[in-house]
Amino acid sequence: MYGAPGITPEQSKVLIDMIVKATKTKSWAESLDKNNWTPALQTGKEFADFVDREFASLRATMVKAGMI
Amino acid sequence: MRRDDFLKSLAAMAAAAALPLSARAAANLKVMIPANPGGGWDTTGRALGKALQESGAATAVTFENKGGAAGAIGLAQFVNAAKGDGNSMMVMGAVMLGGIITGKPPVTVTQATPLARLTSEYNVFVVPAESPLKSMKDVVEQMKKDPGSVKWGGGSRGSTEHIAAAMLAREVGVDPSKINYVPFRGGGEAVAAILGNNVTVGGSGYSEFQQYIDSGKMRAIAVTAAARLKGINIPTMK
Repeated sequence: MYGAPGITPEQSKVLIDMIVKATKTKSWAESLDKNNWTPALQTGKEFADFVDREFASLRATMVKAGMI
Repeated sequence: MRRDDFLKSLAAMAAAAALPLSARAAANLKVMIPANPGGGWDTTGRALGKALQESGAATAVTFENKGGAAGAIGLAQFVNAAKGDGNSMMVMGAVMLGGIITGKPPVTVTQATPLARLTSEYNVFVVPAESPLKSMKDVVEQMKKDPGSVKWGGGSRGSTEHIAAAMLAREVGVDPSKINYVPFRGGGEAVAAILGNNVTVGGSGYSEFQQYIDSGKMRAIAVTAAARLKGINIPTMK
């Protein structure tokens, strides 16, 4: 999940807290179960770093596979 | 219909905004889903919206679907229209990153604010139920004989299933540029092509194909997870 560009760190924290709270509900647990999703909650900087690593690894894989 | 809901909620938000801040206990949130209704991101966004309301964090959640170009169209609209809006969120996933790498759109996700990862993603490859190919090994054998005869159907170019198909080709000594990959705009189109026997192998997020796998209309031949998934009896790609 991404927030809008140019929001303040405070606004970002409010949204992250809402998401974390939402993932603790019964309804979210049911959605995970129903869709066979594997929960992988990461927030803020930890998530940003994960996206950076994914970007780099996807790009490397695509270069190797001759796609770009 | 969704547009109407969206406009209605905009009006409601404008009214709410006129109230003093203290009068608003929880937020009215907007969720951009950069995909057509019915696919994985749509399901994720709506499930999160429901949970946000159940948790009391949001009083109302409105959704806007804007599909196409691996999410780049919805992303561009989100980045341009929601700027500075602390009540907006957007769903995204690895497909969007792949699309940005191949498509080089003018607006990229680095312009938005990373909030949270919810679930880990993996793909499943399937063949139509009537296919003579029974396993990924059969697919590989046919691909070795004639790469073009295996028609892969999946998401946009640069999607995780496209990358997985190209990597598989490379691993088994087939020139990845020779693979016959057909990109579909949404999960629904890919499903129709597989059920109609118009592609040899289909790839997508597991949840998009699950109901067809469960009902026997598609045969799952591999998942891209590193280990077998809990409750799912399908071999991994390893």
